Amino acid sequence: MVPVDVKPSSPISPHEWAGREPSQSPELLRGLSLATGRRQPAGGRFLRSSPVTGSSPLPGGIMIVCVAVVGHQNNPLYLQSFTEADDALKLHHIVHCSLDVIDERVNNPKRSAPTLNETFLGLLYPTENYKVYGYLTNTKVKFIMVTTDLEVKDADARNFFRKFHAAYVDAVSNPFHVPGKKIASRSFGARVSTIVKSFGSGTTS
Amino acid sequence: MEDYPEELRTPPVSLVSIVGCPELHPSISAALSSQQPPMNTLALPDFAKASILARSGKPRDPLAPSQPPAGILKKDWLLKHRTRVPAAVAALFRADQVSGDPAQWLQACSDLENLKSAIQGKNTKLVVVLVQAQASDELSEDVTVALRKHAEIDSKHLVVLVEHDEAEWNRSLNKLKNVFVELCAAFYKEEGRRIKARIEKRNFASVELSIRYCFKVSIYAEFRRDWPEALKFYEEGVRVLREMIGTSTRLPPTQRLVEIKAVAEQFHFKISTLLLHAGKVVEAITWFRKHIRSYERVVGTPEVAFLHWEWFSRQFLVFGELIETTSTTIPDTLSPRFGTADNALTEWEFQPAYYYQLAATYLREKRYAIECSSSMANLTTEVNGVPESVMPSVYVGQYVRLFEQGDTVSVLPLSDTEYTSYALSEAERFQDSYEIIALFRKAYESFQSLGATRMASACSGGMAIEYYAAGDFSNAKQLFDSVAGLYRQEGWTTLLWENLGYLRECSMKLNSPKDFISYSLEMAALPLFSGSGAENRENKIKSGPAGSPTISRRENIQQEVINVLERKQSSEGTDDGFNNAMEEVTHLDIDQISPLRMVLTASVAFHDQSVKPGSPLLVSVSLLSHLPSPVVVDQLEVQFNQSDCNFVIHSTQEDSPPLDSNLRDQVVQDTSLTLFTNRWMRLTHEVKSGQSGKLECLSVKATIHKHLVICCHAESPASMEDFPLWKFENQVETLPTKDTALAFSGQKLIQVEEPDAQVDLVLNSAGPALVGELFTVPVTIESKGHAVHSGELKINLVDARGGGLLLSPREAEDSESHHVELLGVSTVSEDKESKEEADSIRKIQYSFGVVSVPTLSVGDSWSCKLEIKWHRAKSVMLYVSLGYSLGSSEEEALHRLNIHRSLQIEGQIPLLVSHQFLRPFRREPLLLSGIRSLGSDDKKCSLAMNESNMLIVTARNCTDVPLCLHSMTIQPDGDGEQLCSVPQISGISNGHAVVAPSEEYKGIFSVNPRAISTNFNLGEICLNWSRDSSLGEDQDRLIIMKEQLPEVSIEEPPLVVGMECPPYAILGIPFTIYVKIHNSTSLLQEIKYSLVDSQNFVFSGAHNHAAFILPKSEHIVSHKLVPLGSGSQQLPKITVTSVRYSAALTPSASAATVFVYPSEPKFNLETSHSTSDEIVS
Repeated sequence: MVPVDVKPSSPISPHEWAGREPSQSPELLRGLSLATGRRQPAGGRFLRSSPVTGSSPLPGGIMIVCVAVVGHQNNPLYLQSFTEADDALKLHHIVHCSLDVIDERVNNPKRSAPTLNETFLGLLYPTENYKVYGYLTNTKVKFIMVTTDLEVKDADARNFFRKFHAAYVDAVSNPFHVPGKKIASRSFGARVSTIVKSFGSGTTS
Repeated sequence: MEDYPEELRTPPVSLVSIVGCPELHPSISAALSSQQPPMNTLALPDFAKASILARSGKPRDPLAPSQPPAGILKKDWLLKHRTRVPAAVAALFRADQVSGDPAQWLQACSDLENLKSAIQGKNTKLVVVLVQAQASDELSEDVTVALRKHAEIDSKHLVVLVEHDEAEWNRSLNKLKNVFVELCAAFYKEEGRRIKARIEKRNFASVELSIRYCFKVSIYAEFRRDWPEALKFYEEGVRVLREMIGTSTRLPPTQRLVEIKAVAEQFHFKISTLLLHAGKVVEAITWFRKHIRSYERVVGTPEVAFLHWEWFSRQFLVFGELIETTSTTIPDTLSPRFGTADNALTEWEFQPAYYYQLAATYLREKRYAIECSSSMANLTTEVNGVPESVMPSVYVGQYVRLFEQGDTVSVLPLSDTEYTSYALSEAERFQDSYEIIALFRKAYESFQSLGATRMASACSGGMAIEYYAAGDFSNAKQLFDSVAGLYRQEGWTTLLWENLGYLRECSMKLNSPKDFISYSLEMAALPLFSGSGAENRENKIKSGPAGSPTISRRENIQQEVINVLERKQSSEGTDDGFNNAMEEVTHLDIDQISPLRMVLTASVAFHDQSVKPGSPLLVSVSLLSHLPSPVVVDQLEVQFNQSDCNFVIHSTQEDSPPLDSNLRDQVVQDTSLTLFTNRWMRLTHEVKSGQSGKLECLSVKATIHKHLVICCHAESPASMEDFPLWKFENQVETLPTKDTALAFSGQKLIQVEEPDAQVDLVLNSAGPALVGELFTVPVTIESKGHAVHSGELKINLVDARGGGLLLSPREAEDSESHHVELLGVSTVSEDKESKEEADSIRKIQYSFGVVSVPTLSVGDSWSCKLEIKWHRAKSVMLYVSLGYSLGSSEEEALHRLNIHRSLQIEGQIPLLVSHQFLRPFRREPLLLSGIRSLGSDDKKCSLAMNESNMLIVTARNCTDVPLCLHSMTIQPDGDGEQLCSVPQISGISNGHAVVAPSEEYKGIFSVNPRAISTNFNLGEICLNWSRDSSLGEDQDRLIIMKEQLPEVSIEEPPLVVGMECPPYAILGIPFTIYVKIHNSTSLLQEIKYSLVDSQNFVFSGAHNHAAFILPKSEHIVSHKLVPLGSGSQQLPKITVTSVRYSAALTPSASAATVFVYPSEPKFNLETSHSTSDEIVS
């Protein structure tokens, strides 16, 4: 449980609040909201690791909580969650449901016309406290990324997917990998973790 | 949305009040409310009631310091303004009340005074209405002026209503309406401006007031239908409100949060409604997102988290309902690239179902939170108890306690603890489950119709979990089952795991051990997602009753099944529920599409493709299980479609006594029948093939722990499919059999062949068949061990070179055109009965025949002859098949044996007939056609009329057998007999002539035409032949073979050159040859002739000469020759040339040959005759 370091009834002077989006400084709400352990998706780690400055938007504010690779038969090939909270199951549900949106986006001929060669599918849907982004490779393998519910720049998401795609291509190019099977490569997992950690850190190169 | 008060849900409507003249009120109210925009009327029948318009509150002391407000919004403020605070008040007076009686005038004045004092201090406008009966009733000017002055109003606010004239009434009513509209606008504008001024000057003591002012300004703007301003101030209010969360200290934190959220909800509802009704969907959704983001973290202390989730869920529900009721559509102007920088929204945010689903999800959060809070609160409230008589206060989102002390009732604020226990006790009174289910169902149906099956499934799953939580296990099970199907299909094992965990619990609760076992086994056999988290968290709510999917959990589940089977007391007491329902033996049926295929799969392969009946054959039974722990199989029963072949394999570890002895199955002991995970257990067993036909392995029944029988449908290795969920796993793929060929091509069924027929079918053939003859093929059926019952012989003739039918395609219709024909089948047997029987089924067509065979006992034989006639030389395959059954009983009759024989028979042409025309010996008729038709291709033979032309017919035996030629004649065609006689010169002497293979027989005919004809048909050659019977075969049938002679042309020769020469000459003795030239024309013919020297002869006479021949006369040229050499000598060559026809005639070489004896020969006459014959032939 998060330690309570602000007295529940102690006021915070109004000028400190002014002009700041409340969601950008969740730690200030902590005294009031004291979310239950379950209700902290980006959760514990984020709050614990970030200094309680509250004066500037945190660089690590957006966090990827889950990435997934989904195969041709809409079967999961790789799914890794990066939360400490125990909602792996919920993330499975979210990733699975997002396939409906991908189907809709890909199969809707009217909408796909200008985006014929576009692999990045954009925000699939916001749900509860997550946002789900999708990406479709030219071999119709789907990548899904679940982030915490904060503003994610399109460029960041695209950049992430590009790196992730490269990692995926390397993983499946392994001669010992059987196409269509789950990706069990440890080096792929390590590489994905690195990509996930570097997400949103501003390095768009 | 229905929970909101009416005044909040509908747009505010201006309110006016009318006082006095109650009889006119209904018509005036109706007229005002039918206006666009409508106007509500507060009708007061008389002036005594005007006091309710007065300010109800106590007058505030302007000098006292302003108290900080006790709340943000007063609950009844909006209602008050919609029902009790009119924008304008109209005082209605009858004209006679003010014009006549001074007492009445005074009364009117005091009424007006009261009214004025009631609305004093407010901006409420006053209107005076005078009601006249007729338009003509003039009111005196001074009365109106006095009234106006008294009321302190403009002249335009004094309206005269004319009661009894409809046109005037409407006109005056319209005027009143317009006055009201104007006054309302002014009133609300003024009110709004007044409050706005306070905001702008920041002339307020607390944040609460700021928010309240914003709300008021917005409401006044709404009264004026100034939507943009309303929106602006609502948004401003929300902003300030959001900032208040951290700053306000007026209330204890929990209640403060509750109040703020309640107010925010109203603000948000107003904003959403305004935006959606203005068609600004995108803005509304964006606003909603912002609203949600602002408040999603503001949960409050864990004890009251349920309040937050309830509130949060309501936000989604209300917004979903708003979207649904305004039936929003995605605007066309929106970029279709959802979810990108072009368009930050996503498709689903336009669907109410999306909001319902989230509302349900958050309501479920509330349920969890209540569960947590209740358990916590149970410890604390024991002491404090739930506070009594708590009620909502006058402020939105606040609660107070009524405190009675004697007669006085006072209102006391609540502490947070009190409030929490109150809220908890209130919340516990409601069953949220059914609301959650209803929301999920709404979302489910909507998503289903949108084609979002996965989302719909997630909703279904949500419903199921609620049913489960509510204890409705049968509904839950049904829903879980439907959802599990999708997860199985798409291989989402973690989701499936959760589902199965619930299903397992449901079936336990429903007292269904079979389902429990099958779900448990499926769970235990699920492939795990490698990325799933650690097991240390025991959070049953999040991952369902199944726990985390780990290998150890799988093993536990498998062990639980075993415990249930063995009726041990399991750790969770699982088998308590099954005490009654547990059957002696639980049967599970696994077919190829069953999800339990992962649990046990049986692959059965025969080692051969076909087998003789009764002979042993090897069959491989392989079992595969994905269960994590080894499975010990007590007994394995393999079942075939022929039950005689079934066999049972026992594990020797099993010390139970073998099964009852009357079981016919073969029982085998095997050392160990233990299945290890993902490793094939291969067993090879020898079975004895049963009856002929198909032998198929149907199922393999494995008995596990005595009480569980798993019946697997047998699968062929060749057509075995991948395991639905395991196919995505990285694991070693093993083959069901060691023999790889068998693993890829093995079949679970085998063809058992028919038993060997013990009957001989013999086809004899006497060499090649000859065209024209009735060729017989004897067929013998000889029983060598089998009695033949209801036998049937089928005969079929097929072209040996392929092509099937023995017909030329062009003449298929014509029955005559069969090249080879089956004419009949003659049975040798003389027995009448059998003949009749045979006749009963005897169908013979040109190339096909069916003949029934009489019943033969063992050792008997039967034969028949096939009569086949060849019309052309053709090679033919003769197929004969005998079908029979071993007995006459019905059962045996079904089982028929077949023997097939075939024989290739060549068809040959027996005799090759050729013919040749020859001219008369040493007579050369001049045939003009021979000269003329040099250029043409007409190969027609020309014959000279009235000359005896020779015809030699040659018949050559082409076969390998000697043939008898019985006669050779020329049969003239029709009337040719009169025109031409064809006597035979030489022929068959004594009955018949035998022609050996490849020998020839020649017949000589003389043709004497008697008429000129260019196309004369001589007739046909008729040969009568048979096989040579001298070889002992009794084929004495004569066969007639005919061949047409070609047409000839017959003409009369103009000149005939004949040569006379002695039959022989003697060396040194001169002889004379004559050349006779006969002119049969009626013209003088000039001829030239020449004689060429020959070294063997000396001759006298001219070498060249010419002569003229008179018509119908003969010219003779004679030469005397002396032969100089002996032997056959060529005479000097004589050439006769006809000048008229420019044709030369030279006797043929044979005609110009003479034999010269060295001396006078000595022989008798008879022999000389025969020699001459020989020479001729």
